[in-house]
Amino acid sequence: MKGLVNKQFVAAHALLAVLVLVVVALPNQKMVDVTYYPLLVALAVMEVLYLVVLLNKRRRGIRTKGPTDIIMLVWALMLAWELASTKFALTPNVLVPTPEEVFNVFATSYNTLLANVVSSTTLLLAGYFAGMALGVVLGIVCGWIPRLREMFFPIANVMAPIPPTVFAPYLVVLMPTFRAASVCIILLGVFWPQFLNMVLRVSSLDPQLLDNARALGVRNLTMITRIIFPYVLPGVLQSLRVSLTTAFLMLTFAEMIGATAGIGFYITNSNIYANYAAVIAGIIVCGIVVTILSMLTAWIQRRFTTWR
Amino acid sequence: MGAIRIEYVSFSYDDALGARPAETAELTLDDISLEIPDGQFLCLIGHSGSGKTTLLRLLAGLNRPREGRILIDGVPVKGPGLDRAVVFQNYALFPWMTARGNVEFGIQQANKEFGRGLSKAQVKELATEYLQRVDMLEAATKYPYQLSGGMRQRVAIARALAIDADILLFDEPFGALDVKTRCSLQKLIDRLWRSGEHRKTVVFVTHDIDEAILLSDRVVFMRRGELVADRRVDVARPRSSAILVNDERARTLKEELTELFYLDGPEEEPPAELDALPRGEVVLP
Repeated sequence: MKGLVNKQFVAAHALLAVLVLVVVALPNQKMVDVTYYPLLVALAVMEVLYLVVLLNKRRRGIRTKGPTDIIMLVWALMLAWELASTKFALTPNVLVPTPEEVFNVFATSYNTLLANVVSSTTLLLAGYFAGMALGVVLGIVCGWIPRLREMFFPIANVMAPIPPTVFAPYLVVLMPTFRAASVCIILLGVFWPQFLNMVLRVSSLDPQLLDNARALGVRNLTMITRIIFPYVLPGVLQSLRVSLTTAFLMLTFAEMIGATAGIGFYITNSNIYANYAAVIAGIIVCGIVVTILSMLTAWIQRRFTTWR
Repeated sequence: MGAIRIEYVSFSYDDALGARPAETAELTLDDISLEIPDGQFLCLIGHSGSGKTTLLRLLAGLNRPREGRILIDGVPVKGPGLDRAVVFQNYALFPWMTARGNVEFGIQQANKEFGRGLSKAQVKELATEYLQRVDMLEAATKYPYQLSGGMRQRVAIARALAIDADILLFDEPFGALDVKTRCSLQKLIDRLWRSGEHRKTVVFVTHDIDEAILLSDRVVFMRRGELVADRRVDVARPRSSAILVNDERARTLKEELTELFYLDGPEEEPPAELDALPRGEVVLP
């Protein structure tokens, strides 16, 4: 605990205290017909996360002001938002919802939010993993067999830069369900870059490593599983996060054009009804989901990168 | 057994590239014949571009001769095989396997190829034994990037020995090492080769005259794809670098080989090192 409480730490908590006081004690200028308890819970969650991160860093002997600076910025922005909307009513009534309203959305419609997150995540993961797996497998095969490589490499070069979103209207018509179309769009977005990456990487395999493998009598399937796959694996792991970002972009796009479920749909739908508190809540949920997935891929990358 | 017979072998990299008509192609090896009896330690020596590495690649089966043939115990070489273990200069190990992993992989491959029927535990045990022999047991769990050049070559030697092939092929294995590491590895090779119950046939490519004389029974000097000198090294083992000064035959041989090196120095730029040559792959745009 020693050394944890320093000037920045105290400042951050002073800011938090001011924020909580303002929320609880200062009279509202604007009519807010919801309680501030969800907001306080949200602040508590943020504070706990901050402390966990800070203690974790300290435990690993990392001295950094990063987390404290971030939390101070968050408190400052929350304070500004709270004062401008709820307390002094400086902002337009409908367009800028109050923090109380936004966090109340989590309290009242967490069921809807959760269902939408589940719907989105299944779509995302289905498209992402299908795209990655196809890209890696076909990329390795096409990279390894010269004739296939000469055939598909130019084709991939044409296809890869076309944003899959342009296929969206047609895919929606073509596919039996909207979900299948969405998965296809995500798959396409992930597949082509991954495929190209794999073809290039396999064909750049050092001839000396190949000689070495051949001299050890390595052939066919063993060549793929024991030599080529381990060789390309670091490249696959590196592209995990970039591909995830692409997949998420494709997902939100797909969900905004005709979905009946999903977090992208939730945001668009709330927007139609001018329910901006729900729009902002939806965006916050997006951020949380992406952060969790990104942390997962980072962990996978660390766990499975063993050489180089 | 590991008797090698090279019969009228010619080879050209132009064939593989398909760039020039075969008749006008430049020959990297020109009508080479050589007989290496079982259990002999032979050094191939010469300038870069003399074809010594190419000859070794043909022995390993990594390239096919354009003309002529190579027989091992009377059977023509058709391709790479585990009856010959190769130690390369670069990338001697797979970077994604630990030192132990590399040795075990070699043992497993030989196990599959020859149906030796080793269990997993036996493979592990064998790997331990060979890592011990090259003094690398402590670093067994390390990846090649964590090892020094000399340590990597030790592991590569352990793998080559663990395959238990009759023939060992070395392609300038110590070319990139400093003098001290080089000396200790030369001693290691000499000791391991002499310690076997049945001495293996060794073909060792080098451009270091001292190394050739210290290690081998026989030195073959190559120049532009031809064999120009074939000398026996009749010096008692174990040898130390002192023989290069004290032993009459070793000294004479060194003088002769040095002279050959100077006389036959490349008049023109030698062809680029093998590594730099494309091997008939498609160059991507």
